[in-house]
Amino acid sequence: MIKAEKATKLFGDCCAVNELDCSIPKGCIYGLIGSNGAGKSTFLRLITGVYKADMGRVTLEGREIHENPELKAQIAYVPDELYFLGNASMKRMAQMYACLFPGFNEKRFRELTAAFPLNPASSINSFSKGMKRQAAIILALSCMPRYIFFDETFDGLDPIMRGLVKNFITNDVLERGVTAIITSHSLRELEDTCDQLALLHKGGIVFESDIQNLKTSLFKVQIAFEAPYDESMFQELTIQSYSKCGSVSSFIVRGGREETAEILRAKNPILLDVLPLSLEEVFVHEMSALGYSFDQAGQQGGDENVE
Amino acid sequence: MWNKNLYKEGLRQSTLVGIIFASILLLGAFVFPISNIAQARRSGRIMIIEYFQFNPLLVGAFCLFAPLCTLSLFSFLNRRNRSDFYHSLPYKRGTIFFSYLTSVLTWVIGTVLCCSFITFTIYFFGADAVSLNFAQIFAFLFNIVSACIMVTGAVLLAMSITGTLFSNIMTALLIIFLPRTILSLFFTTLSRLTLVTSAASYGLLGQAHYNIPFGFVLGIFNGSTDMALCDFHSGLYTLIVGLVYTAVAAFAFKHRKSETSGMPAPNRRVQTVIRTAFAFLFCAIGCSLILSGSGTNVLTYVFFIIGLMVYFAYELITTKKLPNIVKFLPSWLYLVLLCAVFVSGVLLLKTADLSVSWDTDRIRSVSITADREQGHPRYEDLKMNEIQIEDETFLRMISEILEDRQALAKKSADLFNANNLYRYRMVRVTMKDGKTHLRYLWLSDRENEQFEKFLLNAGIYDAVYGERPQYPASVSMSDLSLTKEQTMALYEIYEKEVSNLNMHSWIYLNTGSSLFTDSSGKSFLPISGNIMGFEVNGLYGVTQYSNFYPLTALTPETYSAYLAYLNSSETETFSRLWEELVENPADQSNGYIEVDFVAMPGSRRKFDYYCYFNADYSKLTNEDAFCDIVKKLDEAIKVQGDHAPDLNSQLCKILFIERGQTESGSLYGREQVYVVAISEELEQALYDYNYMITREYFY
Repeated sequence: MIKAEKATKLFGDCCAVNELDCSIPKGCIYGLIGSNGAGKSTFLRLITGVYKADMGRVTLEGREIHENPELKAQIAYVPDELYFLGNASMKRMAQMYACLFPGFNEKRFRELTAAFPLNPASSINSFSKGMKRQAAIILALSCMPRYIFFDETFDGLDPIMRGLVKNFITNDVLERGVTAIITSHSLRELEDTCDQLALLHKGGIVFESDIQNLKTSLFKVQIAFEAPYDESMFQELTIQSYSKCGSVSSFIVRGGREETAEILRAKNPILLDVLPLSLEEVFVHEMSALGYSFDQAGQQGGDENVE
Repeated sequence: MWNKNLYKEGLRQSTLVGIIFASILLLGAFVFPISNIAQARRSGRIMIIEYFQFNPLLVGAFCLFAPLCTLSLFSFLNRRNRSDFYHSLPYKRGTIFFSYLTSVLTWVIGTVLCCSFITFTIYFFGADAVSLNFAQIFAFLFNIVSACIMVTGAVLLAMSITGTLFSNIMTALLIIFLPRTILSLFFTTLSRLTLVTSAASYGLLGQAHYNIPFGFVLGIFNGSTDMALCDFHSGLYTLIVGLVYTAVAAFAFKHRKSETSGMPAPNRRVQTVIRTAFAFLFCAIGCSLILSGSGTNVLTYVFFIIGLMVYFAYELITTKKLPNIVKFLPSWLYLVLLCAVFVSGVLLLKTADLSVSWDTDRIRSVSITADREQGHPRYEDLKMNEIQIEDETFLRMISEILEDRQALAKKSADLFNANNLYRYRMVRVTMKDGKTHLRYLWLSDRENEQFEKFLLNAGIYDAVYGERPQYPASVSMSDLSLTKEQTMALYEIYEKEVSNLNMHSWIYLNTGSSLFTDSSGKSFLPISGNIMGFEVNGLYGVTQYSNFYPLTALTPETYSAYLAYLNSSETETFSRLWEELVENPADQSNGYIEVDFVAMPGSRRKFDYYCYFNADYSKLTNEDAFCDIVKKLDEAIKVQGDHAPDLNSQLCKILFIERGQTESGSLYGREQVYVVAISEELEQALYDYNYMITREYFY
């Protein structure tokens, strides 16, 4: 289990992760989403032991990660900014990984290299952005980690490669009980892959939920009545983002879908649609609720670069 | 603490830099000894290989190889993604640090040692032409290794506290040079103000050459790098400083935050320290000039202005933010504070140095020591240094002199010249309270005589000069026309001869003191300006000594053997050349002989200067006169035949240069000497022709 207790990381005056609490169970694929500068990458660096929490603690299996080689040997970390030796080929990088990571498996490396269409003898410098990411993922997964921490994993990958990476992650989780934490802005990818999702904002987890639960606890309603009405008509529901255009109202409801539909049907609407929310809509909605909208993002400007 | 895999990976990652530098040093390892041996064989003379000649490129090991290899392997500290990668590795930071450090040192020190081994091997095969000064060479190699460790430690420390290449380099330079520069400035200024103390009086702190990189750079400017590169103490000190730097670097590396990469400093405080330190370097020079009495000089203000410019420029270059200049303006006061500390420190120490009470009752003993600033001490100086003189009369004399000179120094430095105080000895005074003071003892002629008389009467000179170095590391002759075997044979004769020598004469030969002038009327010194003798080097404990034992008429047996070697070495060539000259002395076309008449030791006349055959300077104004001299010399040579020159006669050295062409076509000129005893008549003739004549470029 990965656990953060009041974990705080400061960069000078800027607090990138602020008293963050979370616990990630073993064998779970955990997605981290959040606005730019929310502290996703910083949090990943804290749980990989790159950073040490200024306050609070981050533990893996109950032990501090920072300066703990035994735990770090079980982690594969692919950061958003990748690192390869200058002018090195995949072969050279594999040689380096084999030297530095005790769990590096040559056979797995060969399998993965065969699965991804990369030439291990070519210089990585000549690779495209997506190919470089593939290379980093191959190297990381070849270390046979028990924990996989991927930052902006799918950035630059084409849909086929994304599918391949997802497959490998899922297989590792299923077959070897690996725990994975993935951050991404592509909510569509996380929706498919993750078991749990956490939303980070301003260095703290705003909510944390099972993906299925998240998708079923929020839904969009479109409703119209013959008689005039207003928002007070739906007092028994937990309504968010209410808007009305003519006689048609749109709003998001938190709660059980069937119960809500039942309540609304009892009011005899002339139009009633109860639609599921995509993860992206959930994200936008939750962020708007926290005061992070298009307008405000524009105003906040450059102070969102702590990652 | 250390991991084999990381170490191997470190070696692999340094391969490019390693191979480039190893190739350069290897090239030097072959080229220099081969070239030296070839040169020695071509000239027909033994070449003494001293520290730098061994393989000058080895200096590059600490000047370039060590810093570049360190910068290259630890460059991950300057990039965020690389830094994150390394900090996520399953190793403790200390393990990464020490494993990579050993990779760097393996490349650098391994290359130095391999190259040295190759160089030694080549010199071994050319042993007939070269003579290695082992004491110097081993000290040189040790010092090179120490300097490599120090530079590596300093660069690592700089890299651990800063996060850009520019700030790495600047901070490393600061760490290597700044402390010693400030200390040197401080103690040199102090020494200049007090006159009775030398910078060396302050031990490790005052000896500039102890820091090898600093001493080497300083040596390039003042033309003497040997103290930094050959003194074992320098190597030891540098090694210790290097280890301290490495330990501090390891600590900083362990506590370094990954986010420091890409930033010139981890926080504002460190940035302020680096910026202020740079600026202080220049301001300290200004302070030193003011204290030394050049306060009104424009140059002083220039240094302060440069200091300020550096202060702001460093901030601008590293942060590239103009508003920072205004932001950090108040911290400029630190610079003022440092200057104030420098000035007040010098003045306070000056007051303390000139306020010592030299009451005889307070002095336990005095020892006479060598001034290390003048180069390597002599063997006898090191022996003398060990003798603690506790004689009350002597202590009283020293006490009075020290008290008087201290009083003079307090008033004005000019008073030393006004009182004819030009000679000095360096003394170490041990007080009864356990303190020791190293002082310049400025002496008048009368005081110097008293001083020496005491040393003589107390048997100190006898104790010091009664024994010569037992197992010197190298013996060579300033006249290099002899082979190594001939030199050693001569030194053996010399040792036997001087052991039977009157002690006063021997002391005179070594000190030149007027107290020991020989009564025999013989001249002690050989040819002025071209003194021949033995250069003897070795180690006394761990301190290198360097002695010169002159060859004079006081050692006739050695001298005679020397002349015999000289005359026998190139008899055939000389005979052939001489015959050609005698046949046609005025012939301008034969361009391969020069004739140079120089009075030798033992001459009744003391000819001190060369006199060229030149109408403007010599009475020898025509070819006929020269032919006459050649003819008379020829007669003398014939009389001498195969015998060694008679030392009781006037001796004349004929210097000839055999010019020729090697098989490869290059021209050479090999200098040879023939010594002949001449008659009084010829001597008179030479005298009449303005003492000596030299027919140079006699073609």
